[in-house]
Amino acid sequence: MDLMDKLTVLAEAARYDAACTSSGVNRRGRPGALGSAAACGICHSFTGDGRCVSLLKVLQSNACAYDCRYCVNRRGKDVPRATFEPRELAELTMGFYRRNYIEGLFLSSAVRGTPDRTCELMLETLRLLRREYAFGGYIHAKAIPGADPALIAQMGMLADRLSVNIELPSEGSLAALAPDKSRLAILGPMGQIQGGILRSRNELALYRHAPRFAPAGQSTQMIIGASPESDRHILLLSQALYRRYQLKRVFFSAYVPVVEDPKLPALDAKPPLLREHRLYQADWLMRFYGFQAEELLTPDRPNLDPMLDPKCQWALDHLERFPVEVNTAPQEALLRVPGIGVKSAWRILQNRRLGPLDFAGLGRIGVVMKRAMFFITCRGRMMPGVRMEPRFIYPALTGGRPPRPYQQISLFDPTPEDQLQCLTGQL
Amino acid sequence: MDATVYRYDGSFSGFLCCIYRAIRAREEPALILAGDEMPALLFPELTIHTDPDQARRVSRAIAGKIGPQVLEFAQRAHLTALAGRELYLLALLRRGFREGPLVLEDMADPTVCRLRRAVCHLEREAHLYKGFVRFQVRGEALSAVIQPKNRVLPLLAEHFRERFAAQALLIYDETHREALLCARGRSRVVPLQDFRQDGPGAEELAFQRLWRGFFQAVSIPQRENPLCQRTHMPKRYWDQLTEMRPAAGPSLPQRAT
Repeated sequence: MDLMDKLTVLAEAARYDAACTSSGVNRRGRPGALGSAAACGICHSFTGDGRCVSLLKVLQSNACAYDCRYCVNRRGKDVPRATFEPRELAELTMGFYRRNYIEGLFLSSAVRGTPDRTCELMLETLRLLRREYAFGGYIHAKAIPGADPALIAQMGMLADRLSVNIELPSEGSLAALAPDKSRLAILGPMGQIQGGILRSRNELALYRHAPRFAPAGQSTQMIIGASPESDRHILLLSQALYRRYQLKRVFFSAYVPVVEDPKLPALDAKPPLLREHRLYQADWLMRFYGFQAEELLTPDRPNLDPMLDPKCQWALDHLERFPVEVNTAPQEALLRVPGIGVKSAWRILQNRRLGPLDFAGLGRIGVVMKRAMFFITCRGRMMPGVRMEPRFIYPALTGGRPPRPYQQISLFDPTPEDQLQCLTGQL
Repeated sequence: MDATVYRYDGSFSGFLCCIYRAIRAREEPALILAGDEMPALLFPELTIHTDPDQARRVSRAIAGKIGPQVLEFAQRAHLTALAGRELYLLALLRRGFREGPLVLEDMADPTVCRLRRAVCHLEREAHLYKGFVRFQVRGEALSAVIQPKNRVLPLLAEHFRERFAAQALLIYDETHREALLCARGRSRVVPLQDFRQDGPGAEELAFQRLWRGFFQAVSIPQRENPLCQRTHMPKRYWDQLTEMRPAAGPSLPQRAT
């Protein structure tokens, strides 16, 4: 098998991992060495599916010993198998990096033989890159559940970010679809990594040159739509993960049917992209806007409205909190207004030190007026002609379509959900 | 008062001298033209000579009396592709001398808003180019050609100088005919009329092929979304990107003009 075939096989096998971020760590270049890292992350290209390519995302090997039902690389599936030699992969990474194709390496792997052996093979690649080639770029490595903690500790010293995939949102789904993995085996390394990060941070406070363990933190991913959990369940789980394990990100990956199995959606089912998009929106609300998962979804409405973004939905449910006066409201109240983001809320705070704001000025500041106009007042007045009633607001926010209590189901027409484009490229 | 048109050499120092003249002579120029921009017919033209001493005085005054962040903002705004940026900047600085550094936060003001949007465009384009520059490797030397709308090279210098500390590199900006040169931890932006990249060697072609292969492989066909792709990576960048160009044969040298 030549290098081209290997690269194709192992990149195709890795592409269902959503994370391709290169953010979270600032490392300046060193004289005579290659590579640096920027905290904001840099996207180098965008594929035909609109997702960014930041890292060389490949598996070390796709010859898997496990038989997870949803996975392309499951043991029982007849696909070409390949394994990168550590040096081969290191040289490929350096070649791509030198041409500014990539920001670094995203290294994952199928379990080849045992978790320990797989981990050692990955470690060898990382060691070559960091030590022999003095590579200073970004490295995201997957911790293999079940591997020896000592190996994961070594990995954290070489990589910028570590991640363990939680795969499915509940223990039950895990048992049904991924019989070789267990919740404990996944959460174990996650806790270990968190401990390592905290320890390393303490040491850094004492000794400036202490080695850094996974400086860009850890993330995880779960598959959406392969199992029956509700959005509420998923958001509560992500919130718990953010709080308990201090994760940087929880990624959602809409399930793309790749395997025929009675327990899974049919092969021709479309991936639930819009649902994934709404979940990311809710995730942003929890991380940057001070929302709690319990506020966004209640037990009697456990799923997000596909037609409306979660923030608008929340505002419609809490009209008693609106309108908000932009010239006096505190930042927390501004952040809850649909159409006002983190940046524009901050700019409003800056701008009103100079004088009162009006609607035209808000538009220039960057507030999305088509959503915000229903929920704000400027100097005590609402925008002329706008009424704060759900039956006006809902159609305006969903692109002119009135809310329909019922509708004729059609087999062929595109559904309203299809007509909404989801645009989440920079995951 | 007679309206005049200022003409300066296009450099930031030259622009500072225009400010010096406008404030000293209490003039309100109708236009400020850079270098060989189209001549104005209606108004008498006044050539402003770049005087380093005047420029230093003005920059010190801006940094001292308004604020260093305003000077940096003015430098960036001067690199943008905004038409008439000099006049907008003059208005901003005049207001700044009266009101202080908070003028920059007045996004609700049309002039400030226009300038900040332009700077935002510049910074965003520079950020995109940190990812979209594609180097050709020859020994330890890297070269690339880009076609930005704004003059992004000064904003790229530090990033590429540090990242490729062991290599010598050249990025040629075809639109503005300038080149960024970096080697041994130092960098400079110099005017350059023409630059021609050598045809890629065998190793280069092999890496280009591998990169195209990888790029094809990571895309998930069931999630295809060309609109999203173009949103994040507009088509005007595509002919500079190895993966979006059809493979070129080894005998075709690429001309950079």
